[in-house]
Amino acid sequence: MRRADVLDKITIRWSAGIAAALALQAILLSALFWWQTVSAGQADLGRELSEDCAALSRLSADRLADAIGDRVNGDLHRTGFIGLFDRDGRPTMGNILTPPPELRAGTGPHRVTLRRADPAGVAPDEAEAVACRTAGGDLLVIGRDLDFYQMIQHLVWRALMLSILPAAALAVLGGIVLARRGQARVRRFRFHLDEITDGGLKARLPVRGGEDEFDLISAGVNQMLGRIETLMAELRGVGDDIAHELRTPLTRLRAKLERGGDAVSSPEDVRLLVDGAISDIDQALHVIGALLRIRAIEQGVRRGNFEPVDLGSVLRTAVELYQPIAESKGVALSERIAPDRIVRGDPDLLMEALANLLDNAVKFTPAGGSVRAELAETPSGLRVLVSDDGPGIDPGEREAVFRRFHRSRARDAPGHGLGLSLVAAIAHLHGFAVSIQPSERGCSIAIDCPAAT
Amino acid sequence: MSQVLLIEDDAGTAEEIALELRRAGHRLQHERFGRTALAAASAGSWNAIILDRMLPDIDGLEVVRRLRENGDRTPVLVLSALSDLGERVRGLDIGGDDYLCKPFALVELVARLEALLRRPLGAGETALRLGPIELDLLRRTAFRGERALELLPREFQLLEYLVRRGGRVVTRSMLLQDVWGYRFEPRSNVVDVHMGKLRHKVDLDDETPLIRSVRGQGYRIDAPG
Repeated sequence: MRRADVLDKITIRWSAGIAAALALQAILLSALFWWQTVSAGQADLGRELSEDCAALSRLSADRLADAIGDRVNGDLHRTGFIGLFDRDGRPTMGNILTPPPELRAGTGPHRVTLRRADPAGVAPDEAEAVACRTAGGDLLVIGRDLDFYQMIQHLVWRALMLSILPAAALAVLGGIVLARRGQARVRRFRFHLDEITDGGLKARLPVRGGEDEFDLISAGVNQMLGRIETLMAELRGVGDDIAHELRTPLTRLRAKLERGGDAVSSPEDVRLLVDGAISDIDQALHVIGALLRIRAIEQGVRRGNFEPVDLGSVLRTAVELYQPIAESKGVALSERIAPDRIVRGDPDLLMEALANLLDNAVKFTPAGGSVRAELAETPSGLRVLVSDDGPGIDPGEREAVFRRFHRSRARDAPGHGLGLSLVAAIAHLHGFAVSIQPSERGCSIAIDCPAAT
Repeated sequence: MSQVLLIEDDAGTAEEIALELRRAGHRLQHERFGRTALAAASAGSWNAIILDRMLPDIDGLEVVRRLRENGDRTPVLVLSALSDLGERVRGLDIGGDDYLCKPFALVELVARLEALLRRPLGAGETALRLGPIELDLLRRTAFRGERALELLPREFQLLEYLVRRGGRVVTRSMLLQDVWGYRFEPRSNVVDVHMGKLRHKVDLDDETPLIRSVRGQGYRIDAPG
């Protein structure tokens, strides 16, 4: 419920904001219009009146009287004012009943209320007016009423009102609609997220195929979910594999002890039984040890401990270490090692990785076959390549073999399926890349060390 | 009988180590904290110290440093997690004498401890002799009685290592570390194959076998009689 309240508040804020913005825009537009028409027009009018008054005041009394008469008679729309007053303020000519008291000669245009001196127009009228002295000392007042400007001002005001109200209404409505739409999508989002939280990692957020923010977020979340799902599956698989790997030796151990318990008759038998039991337990411990080791390496032995290592010398020692075991199997183990190639790394871990590769290669190569260990310069750095004449690895399995407990179907030989994971973990720690290289026969595993190291 | 000071904060690990060391005939005192351990180290007379790198109060390496500062030269075996394995532990430049990565086999711990207890191993000698075996370290030649042994360089090193520790068990990983120069656990029995070849050359069928494999532990060379 609280979530809905928050969203309603957002709705109100959004629509109020949009309405305010629209109203402000209308007011600014109207003000501009008013300033350009009414205000500027009145200023022009004032200037015009001042010039007119000055021109008339310079006329002789007769010609002035004629002009005043012409003006009064010619003013069919009754928009103009003109009047001549003697020194005492009594009207002598024109259509103005009394001189406005605030109007003095030579003070520029003023807005005043004037009374028209004819039977139909006694009502006072807003007018812009100026006063000036004639040569004879009389006060000449001329003015023009402001009906036109007042009408425009009225129009502007009405237009403003008429536009603001619907705009505000539209803004509120639009805000509500938009917010509601967002709200609906958020609600759907929440629904799917709740579903995923409840364990449905297979569920995905809906993507409309558009490019809006929601779709971008959805696509990102979906990608993340995919990765989590894969990792979870891998983790579950590893859990199953650990259980399986440990059950095999333990089952064997149990059977052995059960059978042995009945059959032993001499101390020699007991010794054999215990030896067998220890070897089974060692196998289980070896699996656990290897797992812990991979974990420790993945967590990262601090790279600050790295030192310059002659990779060729490590490889040569590894080959020398495996030479007797290869000989005893009838496998030819050969090396081709470029001298003096230094990398930064942990010599013990590098040895462990290379020994693991050789271990696999010798193990999977049948008698009469060969294993080749090479260290060569490549355009991008150094490459260690260990190739064998074994059954090889299916192209489809080339990624999977580096996962924990993966055991190739083709390579059905004893082992706990952790060797290559260990190699991968060590390579990764060093920033090296391990890959299965395509080869005509057997298996070729490369460790690529970038030149920068 | 030797006196060993064990400095380890994990009760379970300490108990296992203690049990194994007592079985191997060592007397043992256990301390859980670096400070109390330092006090115990200066109060007693010890043949060796086993020290966990990670202690609740002070860094294990700091304990070694202070010991050495006080002129205490007792051999120290440092126990370290792989992820805490710093350059200082590896190089042992603070005066530790050997190290082991957790998790380790107790057999390994005992073998390494005993190797430390019997130091120094006559460095600077030019010839070694154990029973009928004679090694000339300068000419790199080996004899069993009158019979010259045709050994590869690595086989000579293996035999020398065994002879220097005559009568004591050496584990496979000690051989890998000290003869080949790398610390790691190989998956196959590579060391055994090397040792097998060496044994073929040292012990002929009609001779008393000198090199023995010790079940579940490693190898030992014994002078007959």
